Amino acid sequence: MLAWFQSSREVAFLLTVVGAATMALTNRYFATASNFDSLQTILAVNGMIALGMMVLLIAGFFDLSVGSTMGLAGIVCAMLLHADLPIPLAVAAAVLFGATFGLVNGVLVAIMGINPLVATLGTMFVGRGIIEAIATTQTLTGFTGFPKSFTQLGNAKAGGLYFMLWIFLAIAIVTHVALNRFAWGRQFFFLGSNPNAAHSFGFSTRRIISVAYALAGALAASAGVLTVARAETANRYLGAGIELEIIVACLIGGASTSGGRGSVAGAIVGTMLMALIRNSFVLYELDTQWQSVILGGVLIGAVVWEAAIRLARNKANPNGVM
Amino acid sequence: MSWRVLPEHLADDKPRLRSDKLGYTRAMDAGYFLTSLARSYGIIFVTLVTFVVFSVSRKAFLSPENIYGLFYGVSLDLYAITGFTLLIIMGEIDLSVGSVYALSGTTAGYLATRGFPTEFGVLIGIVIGFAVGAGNGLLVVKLKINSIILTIGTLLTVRGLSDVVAATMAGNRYAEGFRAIARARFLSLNWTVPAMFLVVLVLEFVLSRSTSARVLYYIGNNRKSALIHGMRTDATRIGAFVLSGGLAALSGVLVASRITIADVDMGRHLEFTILTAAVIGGASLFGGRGRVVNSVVAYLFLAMLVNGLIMFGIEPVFQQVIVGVILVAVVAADTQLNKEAG
Amino acid sequence: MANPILEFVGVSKKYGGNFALQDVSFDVRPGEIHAILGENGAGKSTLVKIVSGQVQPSAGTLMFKGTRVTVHTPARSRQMGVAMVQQELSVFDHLSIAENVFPDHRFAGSAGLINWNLLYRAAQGACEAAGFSADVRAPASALSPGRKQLVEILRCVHSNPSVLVLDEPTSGLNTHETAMLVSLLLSLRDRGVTVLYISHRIPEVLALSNRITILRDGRKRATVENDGLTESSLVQMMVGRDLVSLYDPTATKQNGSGAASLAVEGLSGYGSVHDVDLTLGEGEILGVFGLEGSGSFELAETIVGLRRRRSGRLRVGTTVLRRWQPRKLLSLGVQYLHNNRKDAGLYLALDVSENAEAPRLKRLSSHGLLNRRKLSEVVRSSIQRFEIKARPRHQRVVNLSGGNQQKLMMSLCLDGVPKCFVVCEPTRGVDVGSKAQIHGFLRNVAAEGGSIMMFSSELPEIIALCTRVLIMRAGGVVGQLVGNDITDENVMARAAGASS
Repeated sequence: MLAWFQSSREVAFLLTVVGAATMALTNRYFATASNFDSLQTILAVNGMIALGMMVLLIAGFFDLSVGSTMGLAGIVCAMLLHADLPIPLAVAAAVLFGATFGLVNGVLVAIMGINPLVATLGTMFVGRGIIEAIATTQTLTGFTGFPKSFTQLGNAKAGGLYFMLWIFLAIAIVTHVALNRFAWGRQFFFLGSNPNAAHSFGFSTRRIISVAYALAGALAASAGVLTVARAETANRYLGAGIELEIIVACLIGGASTSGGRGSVAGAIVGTMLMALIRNSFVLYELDTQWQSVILGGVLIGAVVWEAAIRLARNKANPNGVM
Repeated sequence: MSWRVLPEHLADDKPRLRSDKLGYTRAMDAGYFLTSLARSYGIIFVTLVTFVVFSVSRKAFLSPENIYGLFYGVSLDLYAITGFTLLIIMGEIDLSVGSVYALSGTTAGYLATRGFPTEFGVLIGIVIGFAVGAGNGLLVVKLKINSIILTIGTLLTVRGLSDVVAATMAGNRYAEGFRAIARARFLSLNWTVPAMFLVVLVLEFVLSRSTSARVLYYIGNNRKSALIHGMRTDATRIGAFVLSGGLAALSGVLVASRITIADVDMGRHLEFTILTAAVIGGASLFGGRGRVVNSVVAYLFLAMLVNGLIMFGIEPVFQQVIVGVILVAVVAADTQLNKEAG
Repeated sequence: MANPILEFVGVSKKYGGNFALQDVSFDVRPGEIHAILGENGAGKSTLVKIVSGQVQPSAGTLMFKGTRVTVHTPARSRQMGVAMVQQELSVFDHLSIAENVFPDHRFAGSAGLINWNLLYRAAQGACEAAGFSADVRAPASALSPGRKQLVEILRCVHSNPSVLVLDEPTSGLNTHETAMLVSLLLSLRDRGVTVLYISHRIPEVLALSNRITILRDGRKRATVENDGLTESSLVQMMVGRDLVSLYDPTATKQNGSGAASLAVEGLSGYGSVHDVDLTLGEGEILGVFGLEGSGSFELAETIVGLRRRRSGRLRVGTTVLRRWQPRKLLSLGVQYLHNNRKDAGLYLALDVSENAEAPRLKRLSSHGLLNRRKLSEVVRSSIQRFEIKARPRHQRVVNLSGGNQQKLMMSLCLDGVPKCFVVCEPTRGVDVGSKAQIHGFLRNVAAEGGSIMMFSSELPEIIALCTRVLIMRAGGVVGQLVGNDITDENVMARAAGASS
């Protein structure tokens, strides 16, 4: 029984179910169509980014610049649309841009060996700076006025669920299959579990890491494009601060800061729980300031829990070096 | 049969990392000497050059108000910079400095505005800093949690709390007594400016001579060796986190007093700027090196850079980009040097 | 007779001025289990590193299947068909046992699509064939270290190598697991796989091998058929030597004065160390000898407080301790020399003066500030007393030679005469001259009343310096030798598990 609790993912799932039930019972706005709408869109957008982050965490890395990538890609898409580029081309270009941005991170971390914190912190700031620079050329509301077919991307529904949610689910399934049914997908786990052994076994670690970062960038870019489509505006705040929320979601979904662990299901559960928490702020009219507090508290809680379990396990293990 | 002298399973095949001769090679020494020279004095040189370049090319830069403004700003953030540098010397990072800075400053101002004596407000602010630092330190050292991830969590929590206090202030100005703190003058200068020079000089002297300070370098260099040599590694590490929190709080109180209202953006990204300054100033992410005076000069350099670039018409928004690029470049260089040094 | 699959012809390896291997020639026949026997430092690991491409020979050639080869990289070695099981654990804890056995997922179909059932069945089969019952779906972290080692071995075995190289594979295995390995290797031989088996454990070597090559001091002593060999004859070949002492051979060994300066009672750690009792007498040099995996350094670290203890007490003089840290022991006069100066004991990126300062911070401070004068005095006298060839400032310690680094590390511990000096591998990676000097320092400490507990894997050193020797194996003390009983053969026999 205790072992079950050691799996963060299962606990998060339980909390989500209990939380949703509680909210449904105690708040009459929870079980409404419009609330479900906003829950769906949060899940789709954040979930997409979380998938990319989860793959990185499995391999033992992380990316603090996904928010900037999301924002920048969204703005790039908006700019291209304003330049009358056909929609598919604009979207593809934005996603490609995101992948390239991610690849830059990959080069810094995998090939030059820079600490992922500093590298992605740096690219995050560079990205934010560029966004700010572009934003000064626009009014406060940023880019607006997109073709109807574009905004449909963010607002259309199919079978009762948002189109973007279906996209997210499709990507989630593909990622899950790649991680669990393909040999090259398993390499992320090998790398995160024992980097030295993975390297001496011949897995090309540099390539794997660069691909993971490029993937995370592409997914963040897609999330950005979809958000712009739904909100019908692309401004400087797009994606700001979202990276921490995503990392927390992945950690409570079962990823570990030291790599080797994680799953698509975990990313989904973690994102759902975080979305629920955010939703509760709105429904219970809690001040937004408390969001940060709760977010930070959840992160600290998740990390402390992981550390406590690790220490307890190591006590029984050899190598109890101080 | 000869006496076998080299246990083969212990020999390594990397002569470039270890001289096989009984002495040393001067070429290796020159390399070490030059890089440590660069680390110690490079930033001072760069700052001077930048100062000269800007002064010569833009008259507005050299105006007394402008230069004074730069020094004044740095003199307030000085304490946060010091605390951060002490931690990075030991090989740890505290990303919550900006949030603690904000929470302490805003709370101190809030309490002063609520009718409590100014000194009380300041005291509480600093106690908050110590408390957060203690929390960080205990979790990192005793539970062996990665300091980066943990202090990100602290950053979020404390920033949230600071926003709550700021919201309670609802845009009102702080009490007069509190506002006066940053404005008090000493010989027609804000007291913090001469204080800065004094503090930096004293710190430089103390840190290079004080045995307690030397412990930080040893722990940062090789924690296990420090433990073997009897240094209190756990207590020192926790202590440094506590001190860093308290010092960040002190800077926060001063800055809050200066800006006179509760600003939710206070201290945002401060940790990023200080981290960049520390690394430009010669500190290493791998621990074991760094000097407070260098971090301060580097911070001044960054302030100067931003200030000067505005005069060239480069928007402040681009400066984020530039600082980001500088950070990555310097850390890349640091990583490369660390690899070569073995 | 078939042509040899692997052949060493005049292979030598030099590090600086010292030979790790000198003119070693022998061949390995296809399908045989060929053991390489020798004590620590005989050259076994260097030999193996040459085959696996981690190290290049300084002279001589390597022949593989009759053609001359140069193995530049480990990848090339794998290409050739050589699979090597390392000593460092390369298990992927978070992944299943099955994936640890087959990390390359060779049962995957086209485009890399994994067939999990096939993988699990194959892994199950592999484990059962080795006599190993486990749920292959479970993560490898659930296994004991011994089982993990077995899984790693299975991984290499199943990569269908032409030559399987095992470097001290049983150092982490218990008796049952060792038996599994033995039967696995025998079945491999039946299938025609060649096995190169490096070990110092004589019973296993006798049980397994067709032929045995004995290395001693970097040279090949003999290659013999495993036919009617006795354990003692092997021990003789491993260690019998003409001891040429480079310093005064008539130097008297210190006998303890009788009073115990340090005693350990019932010490158990969280690793392999269990129930260790020992006492150290004043002025005595006690040797503790153990081969790979014996737990000797673990014991040293546990005594000094660097490792957590499960149980046990420590007595230093008259003080009894139930809980202690390195700091506490230092205050009681116990000094510690770590077994790997690259790991701990020195500050490699700092210079000699800064290193000298570190352990003496309190002594060198006046009013909390460093007394530079006292420091330079200490540095000057250390350099002189210990004959360290280095500039005190502006020269990183990492750039010093091994001997000078070791002497520096020693000088940090020997300000005065410590009550008790726990020394590990005092002359590791050190040149001849410095070795003699270091042994001299140790003798002086004992002569002046200090007591030394020397953990070493260098047999000649133990024999030359110690009046009493404890032998460790598998985490426990398995024997004690005193006075004239301390011979190479006696020590090695107990350490290698030979029942003589």
